[in-house]
Amino acid sequence: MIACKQVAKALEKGDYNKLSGWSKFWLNAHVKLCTMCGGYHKHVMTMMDTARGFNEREEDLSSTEGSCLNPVTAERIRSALRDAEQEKAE
Amino acid sequence: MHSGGSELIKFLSMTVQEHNPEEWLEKYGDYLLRYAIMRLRDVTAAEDVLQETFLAAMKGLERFDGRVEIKYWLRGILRNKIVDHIRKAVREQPYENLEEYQKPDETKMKLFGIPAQSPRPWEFEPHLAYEETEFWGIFRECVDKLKQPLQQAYMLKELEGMSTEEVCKVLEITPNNLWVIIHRARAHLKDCIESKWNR
Repeated sequence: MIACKQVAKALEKGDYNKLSGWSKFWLNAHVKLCTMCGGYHKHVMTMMDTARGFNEREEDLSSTEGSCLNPVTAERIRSALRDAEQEKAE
Repeated sequence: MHSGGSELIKFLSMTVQEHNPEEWLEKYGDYLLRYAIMRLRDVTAAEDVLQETFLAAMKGLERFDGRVEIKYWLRGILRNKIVDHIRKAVREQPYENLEEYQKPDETKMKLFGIPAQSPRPWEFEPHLAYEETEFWGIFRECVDKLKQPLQQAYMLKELEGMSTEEVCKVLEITPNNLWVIIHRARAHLKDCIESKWNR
C-alpha cells in the first residue's frame, strides 16, 4: 500500500497517465480505502476528464462560435504566401 | 500490402501537393485562428502564429506524408508555433510571482495533510453536463479568466497534454512550481464553473 503523500504526488506532480499498471493498482486501492484521498482523487480525475472532454469537442464547439479570420489578415497571409512561393521558385 | 500502402501515401501526398496553400487558408483559417486564440488569448499574436504556420507548411510540404488530414497536419505545426511563442514570451518577460507557487500550502499540508489539498465535492455532477454546449462555453470562459502563469501552465499540461518536463522547460519553472500551479488552476476552474453553472 502507498502513503497519502505518495498519492498526492502521483496525482499532481507525476503524470497520472504515465503510471505503471501496478502503481495505478495501489493508488486505486488506497483511494478506495482512504476517504480523504478518495475525495482528492475524484477531484483530480474529474478535472482531467473535463480537460479531455473539452479537447474531444473543441473542434465542433469552435465551428459554431468564436472569431473568424478578418479579411485584412487573410489578405496579409495570402500575400506572404505568394512572396514565399516566389522566393522558392527563384 | 506494404507497397500498396506506400503507393497510396505517395498518391495522397501528390494530391495534396496540388493543393494551393491559399485554399487551406480559406478552408481551415477560421478553425486554426480560434485554436490559437484559445491558447494565446491575444488575437494579434494568434494571427501572427497562424501566418508563420502557413509559411512553414508551404516550405515543409515535402515532409507531409498524407497519414493525417491536412487540417490536423496544419494544427500540429500551429501547436509548435504556439509553444515557441509562449517560450519566447516567457524568456522576454519571466514570471515575477513564482515564489508564490513554491510551497504555498506547506503549512496547511503539515497541519492537515491531504484534506488541506482536497476541495469540497462538486455542487453538480460535471460529467452529466458534458453534452451541453453551454457547459463548454463556461469552461472556456473560466480557462480564459485564469491568471498567468496558471492559464499557460494549465493549457500546456492539461489541454496540450505535454509532459511535466516539457512544460517546465517552456515556462522556465520547476516541477514543484508546476505542481502548485496546476493544483491552483484546477481549484479556480472548479470554483468558476460552479459559480456560472446555474442548474
